[in-house]
Amino acid sequence: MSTKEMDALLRFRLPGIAGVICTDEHGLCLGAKGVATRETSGHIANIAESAARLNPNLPPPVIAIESEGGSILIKKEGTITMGIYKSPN
Amino acid sequence: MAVPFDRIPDSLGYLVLTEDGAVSGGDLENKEDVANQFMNIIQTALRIPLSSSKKDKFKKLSIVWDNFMYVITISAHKIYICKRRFIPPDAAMA
Repeated sequence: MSTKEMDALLRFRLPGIAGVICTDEHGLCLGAKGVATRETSGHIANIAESAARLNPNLPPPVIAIESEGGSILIKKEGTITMGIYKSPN
Repeated sequence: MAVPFDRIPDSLGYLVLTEDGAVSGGDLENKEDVANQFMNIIQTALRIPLSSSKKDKFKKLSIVWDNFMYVITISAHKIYICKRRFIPPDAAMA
């Protein structure tokens, strides 16, 4: 996903999206937009990898971390992990 | 310890981690090795800021596959992990 596509996701698509982050399998940040901070990329890659190891025979799961102040959806796809921050409704 | 997981719809198993040990049942019975993996995931999740407030820790952590999901929450120094059947809502998007 290019930074242009990230911008598009933030500006035009589903309402409530507050930020987007993309990392590689080593936790290197490939891009962060909106509320997403580049320092989080290692944790995002780590949690996606750890969750995928729970059931290595299945495709990587979607991880949803929810709090009162916002939530994040994380999915690993190949070597890329993507996180989408959502603001509370 | 009474664990009211049987009241959760579509529950397939549970794991409760406390400072004194673990209680488990269903698909997660005696899966203490998985407990360590969950601990790693929970510790990582707690490090990911979800809002500008640093005190804002997660209320619910879901790990979702096509047919089942793990739902994790923390309350009163206990970690509750429930494995549930996942029936996706209709694909129609809002």
